[in-house]
Amino acid sequence: MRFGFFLSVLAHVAIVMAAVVTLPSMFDGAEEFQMLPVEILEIGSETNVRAAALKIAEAPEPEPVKEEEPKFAEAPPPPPPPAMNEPVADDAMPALAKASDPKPKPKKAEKTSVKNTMPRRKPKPPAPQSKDELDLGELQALLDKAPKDEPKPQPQQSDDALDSLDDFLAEDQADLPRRAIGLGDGLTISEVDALRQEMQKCWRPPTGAANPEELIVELRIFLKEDGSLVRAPRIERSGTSTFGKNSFTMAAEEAARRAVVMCAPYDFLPADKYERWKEVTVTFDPASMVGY
Amino acid sequence: MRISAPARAEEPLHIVIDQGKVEPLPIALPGFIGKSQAERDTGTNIAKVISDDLERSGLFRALDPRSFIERSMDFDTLPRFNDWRIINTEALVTGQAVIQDDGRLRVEFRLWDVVRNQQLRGKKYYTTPENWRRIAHLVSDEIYTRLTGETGYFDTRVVFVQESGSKIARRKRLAIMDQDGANVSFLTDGFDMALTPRFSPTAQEVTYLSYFNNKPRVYLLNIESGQQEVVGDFPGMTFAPRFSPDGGKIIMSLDTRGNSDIYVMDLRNRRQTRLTEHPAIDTAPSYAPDSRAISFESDRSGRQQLYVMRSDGTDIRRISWGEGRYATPVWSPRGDLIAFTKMLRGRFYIGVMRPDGDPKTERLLTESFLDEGPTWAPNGRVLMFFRQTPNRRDGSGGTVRLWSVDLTGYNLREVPTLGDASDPAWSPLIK
Repeated sequence: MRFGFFLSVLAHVAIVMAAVVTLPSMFDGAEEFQMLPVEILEIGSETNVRAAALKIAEAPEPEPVKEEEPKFAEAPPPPPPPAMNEPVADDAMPALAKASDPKPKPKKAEKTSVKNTMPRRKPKPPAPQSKDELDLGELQALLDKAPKDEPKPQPQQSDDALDSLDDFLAEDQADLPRRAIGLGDGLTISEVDALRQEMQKCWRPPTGAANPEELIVELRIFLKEDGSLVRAPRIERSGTSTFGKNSFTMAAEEAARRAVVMCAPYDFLPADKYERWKEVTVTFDPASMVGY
Repeated sequence: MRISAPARAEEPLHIVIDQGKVEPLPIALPGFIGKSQAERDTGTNIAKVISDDLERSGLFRALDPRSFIERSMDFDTLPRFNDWRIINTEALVTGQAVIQDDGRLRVEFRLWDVVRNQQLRGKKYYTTPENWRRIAHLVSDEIYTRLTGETGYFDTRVVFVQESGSKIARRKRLAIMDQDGANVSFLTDGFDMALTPRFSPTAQEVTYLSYFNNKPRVYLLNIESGQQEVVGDFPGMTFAPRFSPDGGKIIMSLDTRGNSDIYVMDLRNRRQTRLTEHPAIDTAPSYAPDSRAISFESDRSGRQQLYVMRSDGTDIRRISWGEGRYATPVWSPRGDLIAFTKMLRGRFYIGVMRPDGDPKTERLLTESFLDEGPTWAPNGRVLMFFRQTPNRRDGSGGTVRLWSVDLTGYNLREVPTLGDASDPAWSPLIK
């Protein structure tokens, strides 16, 4: 009983002492805390805006029937009745209306409407550099030892300022407005991320597939300055299956192409960096989506 | 390794998309057109069944026909793609139904990618007019396969145990229906209790368990002819029969003097082979689709767990290592997963795991008072099982119904049946 009493007193004294020692330092710490202003930018609200109209009509699409289906002038005679009333499947389909069909073709209508309603947007010329800003000419001069080993740019590419190193090194052009080069002209992480977000909004990955690693599709897309597609996306790589192409790889390819076409135009990309995004390779990798 | 931004100015920008939207694909299915009223009615019915099939898969969202802009469609002209894109559909199915002079029904359809202005698929079918539902399922399979890459599973049937009567005098008879619950018919009369039906993967045959003189026996039933026979004449009781992938063998458990082991019987020569020999209860065997391995459940470790062995009975390995008890392993027709029933703290779960037993691959898809008896759709993508929902505190009463779930764990749905139903067995694609 007495031992317990002393133990209790000692414990209380220890708690009070600890409070006396630690509490002031805690308050000191709080006073020394400095507020660091952080600017929160919602890139999504600017870059995830969907375009008012799709521009896929400008991409040259093959005639549907020609690509997929054999043409038939008339329906073939029906086969004899099957046993057990089983339906008979037949791939043969009658041809669609020919070009001479009096009805106007939707494709033509789309082309006209797109041209009328979606004026081509010119890229803004880059603003002249102020003296406080990074001098790319100087930076390039510092870095020019490394590129000497590289093959010189071809003369026919001289219209592209990015490829003409000599032009940039010339003194009389040092202060002129120019397109950026090197790391400085690359898209920022936010801009690349905005493009990625836009495309993933339109992509339905093949979920639940047995071998998702075989369904990776890489597309090469070519963009106009207004962010629309120059032509249909080109498949660079797909279907790593050892069994070759199958229905899974075909569906994966189409899902990827549909995503790119559906989300175009990518008109939020910075016009002054057009050279960096006029050609983009996109890898669609469903591996992490398998559990969905 | 893939990069997100170019290291050199000459290389094109490279981005990696590894996240997408897990939403059903919007699809428009206007009623199939026809000249006569009978053709139009058939066309409307076919489009409705296709629409229901695709929606039930959870991978498609059929748009409300009232939202369609283009209404008068000619089957042989291009759709106005702009009109379909405006309503945010990505795929369009057009079709027509024609009753020919010889009385047969001709159904044609085209599947369109309205984003890329392309026809993806086009087919036509002939049958008798009353067989229109089957055509609708075949068209659903074509659309599903073309857009997802998976083999379809709509032109399939399900055998199950139809239950009726009180708990004391429960009547259990085999019934068969289309996978969507239509066309129900009975296969047994209900005088003898029928349990655990299993479809042959290659033929319209079912093996099941029935009691004869109070002794459980494995039977073989031909669905088309109605013929049935006892499988083998074993000294003890036989349980849990299941076909081999080639349909030539039946694997089951045989109980002699209170010890249950796995046996396989060749249906051609009726020769039987014992595969396990252990004092524990070994049961619920299921072949891998390549026939090289067999999964089964056993209590040899002290409680019910899942095991895998070679098809000759050697190299037995335990694969379930989580909490609780595991039962009824069923190998996926795709080979990549094993479905099972799990019991943990009074709850039942349907789950899947990889056959190598990696505990990280175990995924529980459903949970309830009683979920049991998973069966795979022939494409290995969807599971069906039965669920008891009691209405009394002691766990009795209530209903027993069939449910389906996608292997991703999404899209849990009840399968419509007339009254109580249990023990579903999914057929292969009808040939």
